[in-house]
Amino acid sequence: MMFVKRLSISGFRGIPGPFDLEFPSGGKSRSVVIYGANGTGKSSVTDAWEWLTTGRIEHLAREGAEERAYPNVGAEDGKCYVEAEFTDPSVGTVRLTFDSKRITRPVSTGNLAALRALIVHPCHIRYGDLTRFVFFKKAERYDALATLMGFVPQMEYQKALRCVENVLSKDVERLSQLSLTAGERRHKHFGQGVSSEDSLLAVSSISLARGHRIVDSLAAAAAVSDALQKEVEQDPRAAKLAGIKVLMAALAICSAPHLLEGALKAVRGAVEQVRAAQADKAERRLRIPLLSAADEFLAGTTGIGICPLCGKAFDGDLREHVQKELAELKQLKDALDHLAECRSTLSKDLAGLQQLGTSFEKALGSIEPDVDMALLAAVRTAASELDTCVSRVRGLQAFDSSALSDSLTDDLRSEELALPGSCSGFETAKQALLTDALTRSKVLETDPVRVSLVRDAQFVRDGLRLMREERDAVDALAAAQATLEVYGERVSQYVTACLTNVQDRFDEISEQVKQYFSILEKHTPGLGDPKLKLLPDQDRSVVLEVTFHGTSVQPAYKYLSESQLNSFGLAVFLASATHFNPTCRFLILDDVVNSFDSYKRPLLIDLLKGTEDRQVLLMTHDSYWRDLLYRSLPTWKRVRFASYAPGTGPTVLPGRDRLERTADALADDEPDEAARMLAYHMEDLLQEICESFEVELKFNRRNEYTLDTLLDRLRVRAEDKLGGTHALTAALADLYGASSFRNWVAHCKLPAAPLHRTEVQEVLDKWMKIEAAVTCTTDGCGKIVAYDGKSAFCCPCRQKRVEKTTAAGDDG
Amino acid sequence: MTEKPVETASFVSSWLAEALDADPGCPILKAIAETTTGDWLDEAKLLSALKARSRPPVGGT
Repeated sequence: MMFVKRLSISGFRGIPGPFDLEFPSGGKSRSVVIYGANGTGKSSVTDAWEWLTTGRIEHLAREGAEERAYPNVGAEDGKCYVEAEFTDPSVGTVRLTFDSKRITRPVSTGNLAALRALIVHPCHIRYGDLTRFVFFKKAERYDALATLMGFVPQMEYQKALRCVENVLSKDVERLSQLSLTAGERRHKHFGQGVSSEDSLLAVSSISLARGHRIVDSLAAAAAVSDALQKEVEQDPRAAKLAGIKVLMAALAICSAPHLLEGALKAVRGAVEQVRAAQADKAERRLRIPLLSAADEFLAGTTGIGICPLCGKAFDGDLREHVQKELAELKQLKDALDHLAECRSTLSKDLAGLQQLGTSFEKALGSIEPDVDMALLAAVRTAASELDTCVSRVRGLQAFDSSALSDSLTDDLRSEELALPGSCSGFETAKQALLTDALTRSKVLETDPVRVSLVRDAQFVRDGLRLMREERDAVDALAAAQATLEVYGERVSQYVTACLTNVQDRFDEISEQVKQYFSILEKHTPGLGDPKLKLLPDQDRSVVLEVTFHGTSVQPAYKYLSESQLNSFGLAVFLASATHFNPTCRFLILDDVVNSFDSYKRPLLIDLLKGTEDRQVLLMTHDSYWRDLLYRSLPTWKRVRFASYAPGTGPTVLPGRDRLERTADALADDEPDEAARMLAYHMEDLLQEICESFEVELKFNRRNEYTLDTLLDRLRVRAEDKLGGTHALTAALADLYGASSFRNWVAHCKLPAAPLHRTEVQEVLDKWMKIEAAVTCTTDGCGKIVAYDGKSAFCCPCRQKRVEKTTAAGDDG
Repeated sequence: MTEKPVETASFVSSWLAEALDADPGCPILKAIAETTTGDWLDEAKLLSALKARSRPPVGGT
């Protein structure tokens, strides 16, 4: 078993340090509670532990704050480190030092690998992890569950696999569009609806008419094309004509993407609409179902200007407000939907586009046509300019629709203006070259035999190129689809294995989760049997289920409060951390009870008492909870982060309970402060003792001064059950009858009434005897004795028993 | 308390080893394995390996 002996932090996060936290050893408990107000550096201790044991700080990474955020602002180079000493000699002392030159590679000393190998499961949790678990959607809750149950790495791997799959899917989509375009081009050449086989037949009939062989494959078509080209080359005039025809065909397939302008304009318009409908609050559209339900509900209520929840009047018409908000959000949603539609159209248009320059050169091949070279160069330049413009549009369409900016609309608008110019520039250059080519070809088209030969050779050559292009596109698509299919299967297998593993992990700890949940929800009748159910048809989806008065409720958050869901999360974490960490016994609970009310917090203490073989570092900013911890876990070490200054960090002091603080105030000659502290303490304790003793009390909600009544009725109860001579009865009577108590009890909450030091000291001394008489000092119990229904008062561990005895003065 | 701790850190490599055992010839699985270090996947490398695989031979007939 491994425990922590010491944790030292220097120059890390909120702790300029050095700060040493020594854990108790050899005594009854190895645990520590740190109390400190918000912002005193407590959570830096958790961060330090997480960095040491995992190499990163997850909650910072989620916010995009990476390693550079780890050192304290004032930390000198080499002075930012976390060191821990362990009881396990194979681990010993381990230190991780931040290296500003290689921020992702801290320098480690000691056997860090041995430490990390022993921490199978994360053993720290923050309140934030529990709230994530409660509020997030299914997939996000799965992420939170990963943190609680320690399967973050395998989940991150799953996300990475899926990310690659998404890119491959998009690639398949693009290839599919290219394949369609290639098919359309072939149809344009051979005729609409003509199949690939019939295209070969068309080439074959030309081949046969020209005295060549039957064409039944692309290879055969290539051979015929070569043969016809040779025939053409034998006649110089035919070769010239062929070159011009190739050029004209190449120009024919290159058209400016005029449709793109409309699609781009539509996207720009849609972006502007979304921005006008408050794009900065795009997440507000998630409120539509809530507002719709509110609108429906309000339709059935009467009384405009009356709150349906509290019945109080307010200015204005609530339904009108809800409807207005709903209309605005629907408008926003419609605008976002329209934007997505326009963007999809633009994306499809772009996917089908090939670079004009590349297509033109490919179609032209090695031909050097006998045309005006200046006009040919102008076409090439215009094609290049248009390609650059389209490429810019491609870059622009990858914008983030949740962060639309002025610069995006400006850029879209400028491309919208530039695109027609580039298109018309290309078309003008193309037309000029075509005119030149046409003029020159007419001069060469005097012999019909030559014209026919050139036409056939050209038809076969272009047809062959288009068939090859289509075949290549279809092959590329098929190969990409095949890869995607196999890859998708592998990813699905991994996801299934992950889900099975996670479900197995939960099944392993389910009994422990149930047990912990039942402790934390002891006061909620009918609630129990918590389960986590994974949705196998979804990647990362988890729903919570509980039994509520015999009925299974799923999802649980429909019925459970925030604190009940937090109980669920805490139960899952504690069960996982204890079950999956058989060697490392250390746990950090950082402010985990924030949503628990004062009745529920003692239940966490009960739960912690059940894990005494663990070493806990518990942190809180809540003084009431702190006092309860001090009282209920008296053997834990107490540390107080008293104040915080940026240069020096927290002032670390020993934690003092309320009685000790009362004594401290008396020692400092501050009797009023001591009186007030003691009053709060006694009021709490007396209420608890009276409840345990089943004391009959008259409730008076206007009574601010309850101490007198509480003590009096407790005294009567003790006398009734234990007899007048019992030590407890005598101690209670002694305090109740003391004039110091009578004076103190009447003025302890009144700042204007000064009390004397000796009076408060006397009350404190007498009270401490009573507290000691009713509290079990056995380690792990610490409870106040409670009435057993017969004649005695016993603690839960039964080591402390207060009962009536025959011998006077003996408290048994 | 527990018989055998679940080694979360080795889940990915265990899965890969099992999958390769079941289908040692699968090139896609090999590509995944070659771009995996511990629990970390080099997405860019895997993508380029898969895309190279998806490219049919150029200039075929």
